[in-house]
Amino acid sequence: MNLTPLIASFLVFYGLYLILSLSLNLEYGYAGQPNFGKVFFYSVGAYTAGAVTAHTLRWASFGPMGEALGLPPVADICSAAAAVVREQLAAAHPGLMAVIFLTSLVLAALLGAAAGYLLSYPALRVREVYLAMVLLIVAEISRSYVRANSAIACGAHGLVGVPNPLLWIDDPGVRGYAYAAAVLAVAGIVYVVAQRLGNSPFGRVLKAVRDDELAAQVLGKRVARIKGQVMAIGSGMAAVAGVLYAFHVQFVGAEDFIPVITFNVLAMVILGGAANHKGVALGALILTAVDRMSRTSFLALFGLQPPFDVNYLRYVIIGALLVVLIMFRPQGLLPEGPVRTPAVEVFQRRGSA
Amino acid sequence: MEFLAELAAPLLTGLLHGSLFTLMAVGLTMTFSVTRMINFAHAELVTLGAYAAVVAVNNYGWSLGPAMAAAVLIGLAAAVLVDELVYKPLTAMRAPDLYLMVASIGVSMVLRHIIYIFADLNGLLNVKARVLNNPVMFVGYGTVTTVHLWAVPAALLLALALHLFLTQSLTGKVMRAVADNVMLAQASAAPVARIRRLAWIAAGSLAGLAGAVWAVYSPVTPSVGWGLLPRMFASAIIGGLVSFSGTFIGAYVVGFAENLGIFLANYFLGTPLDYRGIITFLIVAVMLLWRPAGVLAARGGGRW
Repeated sequence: MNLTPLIASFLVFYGLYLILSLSLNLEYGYAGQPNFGKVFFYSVGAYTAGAVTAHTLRWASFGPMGEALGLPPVADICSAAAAVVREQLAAAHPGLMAVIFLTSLVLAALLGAAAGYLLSYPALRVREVYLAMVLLIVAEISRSYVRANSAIACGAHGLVGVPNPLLWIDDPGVRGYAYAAAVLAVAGIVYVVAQRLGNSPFGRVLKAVRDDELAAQVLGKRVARIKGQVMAIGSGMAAVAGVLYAFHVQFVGAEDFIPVITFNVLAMVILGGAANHKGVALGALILTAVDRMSRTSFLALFGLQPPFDVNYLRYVIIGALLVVLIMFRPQGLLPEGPVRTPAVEVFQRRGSA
Repeated sequence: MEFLAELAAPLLTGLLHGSLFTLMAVGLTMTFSVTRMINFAHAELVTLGAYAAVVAVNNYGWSLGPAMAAAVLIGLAAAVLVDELVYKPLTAMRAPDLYLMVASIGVSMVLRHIIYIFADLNGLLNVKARVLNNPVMFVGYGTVTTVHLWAVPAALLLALALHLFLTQSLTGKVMRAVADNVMLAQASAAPVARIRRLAWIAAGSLAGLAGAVWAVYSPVTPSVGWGLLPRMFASAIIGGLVSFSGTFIGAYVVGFAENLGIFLANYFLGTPLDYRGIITFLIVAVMLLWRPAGVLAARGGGRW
């Protein structure tokens, strides 16, 4: 039994879920903003990666790069022939793929942040419940729109053939681990950024907005603007995760971005401990393991064949977990701690001395 | 004349959808009014009603009347059960509104995927109720069917009944008081627990009924209610989440916008029909910017 692809895929998904849950932790855990359209911003990243890759490689197939490989120029993007051309180009030109990969990451972060700010704008001035409803509406409507409209990600079929930027590495095992390392590196950066943000004055303002909006307002904090900022930051991070996802599964399709992904991430945040990044990293680890091990292909390794789609059972478990956690341990496994500021450290040193 | 004939079909569909969204969204508004939480699992009450009707008709050979009664009972039972097991204890623990909303998402996921497993095991992932949806009358290119004859009067009757209940009966007045200010109502010896129970009973039965009617109109999948949830939310937001007449208006606005509105935009501006959902989102966004407290808020924020 070759475990390499399983381990590499587990590491990639841990990185993706870590980014998503850290971003939701800033929004939900720190600022109390229920971004129940998280999956939409995740999908924005994937669509961006798909579009950048497909259009750049289509352009490249007409130029000397395509001629050198003896490839036929392909005018469209959605056909199987175009997917094959993209893969061959990607395997032959690591430099071009690196540019595409980095461009996608930057562009997706910007687009995600803009979308997060604009779409939450109407709902930020009213109660949290509106934000939850509006963003859920956005996520569901955008999914049906992308499915019906072939311009974004080839409609119902999805965009097949978004080649991995490391396709030039011949050994699939090495390639898998190398890509997992790249994803975990990005996740590590996001972790550091989230941790610094959480302990910064901005992080304390977020907690103030969450705990007492009126008090924050009285102290001169512009509550609506702060909520918009955290939505922009969190959505930018989610879009980065979407890019990494698209290059991992090498496919972009609207049907991958169903609302249960949002709620899976929400369960990670609440299980680990809202407003505690360490806890969230733990929650993401536990639920990524549950996620990866409750797949039909994984169960088949042990000869298990449930009579129904096993995905449904996982969602029942995650839903039940959400209810049980909220009822019996809303603070999660690792509860929120004091903010780490220089002042707190001075006080703690004095207290212990 | 050609234009008018074409107009008939989206007009009739809009009327039907508006009526069905009314049945669904009024329950959402009602439970929000008395519990201050948006019940995401409301979608699954609709789905349960739809499946109850389909299974009763297809597998047990019931006629439509008893099947609808079964759907109403299932929706009612599920709503009360979920309240007893989850929302009531959470409210007793003084959990924040945000926690209640997260819990309702958990409940929604559990219910929806249990329905999925049940449907997968019984080959019911996409079923049509074996009921004839008879055409009654043709208007232009549109058809008035038996579903129209149930759904539209049901919605109008519901609006009338709610109006009478909330303005004329003592229980209805107490419900408005509880919705306005729970503490004050409690201090005035209002039976808050009984009012809450009543709200869940009404919301569950209406959702079950709406699901059953939807099952006659269109094929049923385990996510039929979830797929309609954005429309229910939009209707309720137009009503400002607290006003029943606002919700009623909102449901028809959404129903007509997604059918008549997109038809007119397509006819005159060439807008593709895929944009129908985006129109709904735009209505919600404009509502929140223009009148976040609901379309009837200017009337003094009354609850009816």
